[in-house]
Amino acid sequence: MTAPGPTSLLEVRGLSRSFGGIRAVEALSFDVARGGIMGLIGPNGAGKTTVFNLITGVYRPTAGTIFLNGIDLTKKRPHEVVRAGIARTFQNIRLFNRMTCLENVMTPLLARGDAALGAFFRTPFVRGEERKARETALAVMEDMGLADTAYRLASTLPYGLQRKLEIARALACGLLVQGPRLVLLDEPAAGMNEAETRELGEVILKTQKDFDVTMMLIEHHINLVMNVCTRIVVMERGTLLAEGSPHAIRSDERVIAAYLGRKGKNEHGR
Amino acid sequence: MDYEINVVMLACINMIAVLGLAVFTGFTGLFSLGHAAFVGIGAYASGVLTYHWNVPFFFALPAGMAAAGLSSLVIGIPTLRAKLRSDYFAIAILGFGEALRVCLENLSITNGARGLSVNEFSGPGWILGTLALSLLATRNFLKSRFGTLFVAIREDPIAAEMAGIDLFKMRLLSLVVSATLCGASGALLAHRLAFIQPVMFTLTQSTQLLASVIAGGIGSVSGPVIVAFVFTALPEMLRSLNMWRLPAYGLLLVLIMIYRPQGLLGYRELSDLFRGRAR
Repeated sequence: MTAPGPTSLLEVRGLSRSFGGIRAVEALSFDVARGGIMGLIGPNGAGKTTVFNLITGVYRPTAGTIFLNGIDLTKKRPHEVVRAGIARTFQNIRLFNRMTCLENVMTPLLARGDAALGAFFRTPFVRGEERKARETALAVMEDMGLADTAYRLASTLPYGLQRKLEIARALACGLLVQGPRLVLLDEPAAGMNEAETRELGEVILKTQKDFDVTMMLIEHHINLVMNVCTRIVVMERGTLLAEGSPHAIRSDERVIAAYLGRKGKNEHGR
Repeated sequence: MDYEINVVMLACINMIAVLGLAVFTGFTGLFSLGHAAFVGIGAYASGVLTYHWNVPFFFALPAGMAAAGLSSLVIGIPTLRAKLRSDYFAIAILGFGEALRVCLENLSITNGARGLSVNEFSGPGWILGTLALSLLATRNFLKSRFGTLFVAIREDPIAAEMAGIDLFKMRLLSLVVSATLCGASGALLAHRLAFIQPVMFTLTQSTQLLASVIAGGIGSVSGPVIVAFVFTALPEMLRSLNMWRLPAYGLLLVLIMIYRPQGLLGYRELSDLFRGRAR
């Protein structure tokens, strides 16, 4: 086991994954520092979502290792990765549509419950466990400003709130985890206008502090990335193109050529 | 009157099996074309015990349930571990059901294809008691965290896994619970009809179970159970119409699919209607 540095929460080393002849991710290495928000950007097809899928155990890497706070995640299954402290949202929102918003947020808490045979008899222990999960989930929703949606079906929420609910569910995943937690957000601002995106940025910053989590963010809204991220990794064709502070990335010639484009210059005056 | 009671008793036995499949298909979201096999295992395991060894029905019934529950592990572990998609799983379990029929037809302990004549043990008390207990236990179970986790898996398996749910374990649990209920139904059936034969537990029966669950409504316990009763009782009530009763049954299914594609009580329970809660 590699001992992680004092500040690095996630260590990705030599990560590779190919699908048939296509190398989606190749020899990718980066660290995510504890606290703060790491942006993961790059052109479409650069392999960003594949990286998320590799970290969360949806795909097995063909080579390389992933460590979270010194724990080897490389061969873990998705639910084990979640229990180790990593939660995520999806590019296309994936909520439990036919469940209430509260049940959506309760699910990760109930997934780690202890109730077993008692479930057939509704024992006091079973009821107690459910009540605790409900209270915890309600508190999360309160913090996220979702309290009054608790008993609505998730599918009836407007788009922006669905995004928020998905983040709330991801935060709930980490509540029973001892130690540091990492939340992966896959294009949370997709399909949002400028005002909504700005509001989302505030939500992200606030929850990152309130819940004391580390975040990784895939996003194409470059303003959002520059506003909230403390550090940025740029990918191109499955490999690492650049890594650095938002300021450094913005003026990096390779990044401008590959992704940001010349127009990026105009944004300096912001 | 005896005849009517008999029809009602058979309907109640059928309700237990449909209840079992409702847990698996309606709540966990996996289709099965082989649940009649678990009814058959329950019937034969208990029947063999009472026939060959004179085991009291009091023990034979739970033994039939246990046999069905355990046998579901045989098909469940390899297929659910491989995370077969719902339609592939339905085919795999169909194969399991057909393989079981062939086994039952060729074993000497089951008396082969000629069938097994057992004693008539399950009177109305046994049947209604088992039905009531099954309904109560299943309702509690689905109200507990397991019910929520099953529905989460049905709604979106990928998101469920990323909410920390062990897909394999929960799907297997759902299968074992549903097979155990089917086993109870089988044990009661065997000792009600006093005669069992391998052909009673084939694809036709599995399809009827599934039809009851779908027509009753996905994500509902009361819907499928009501429909199971109607589907067993209706063909009997329509006996006077003779040749028209089977088309009528088919027509009813088609009408439900056209006018109520979510089923009789899709995603809700009978009690919700009385409370006037709209979802």
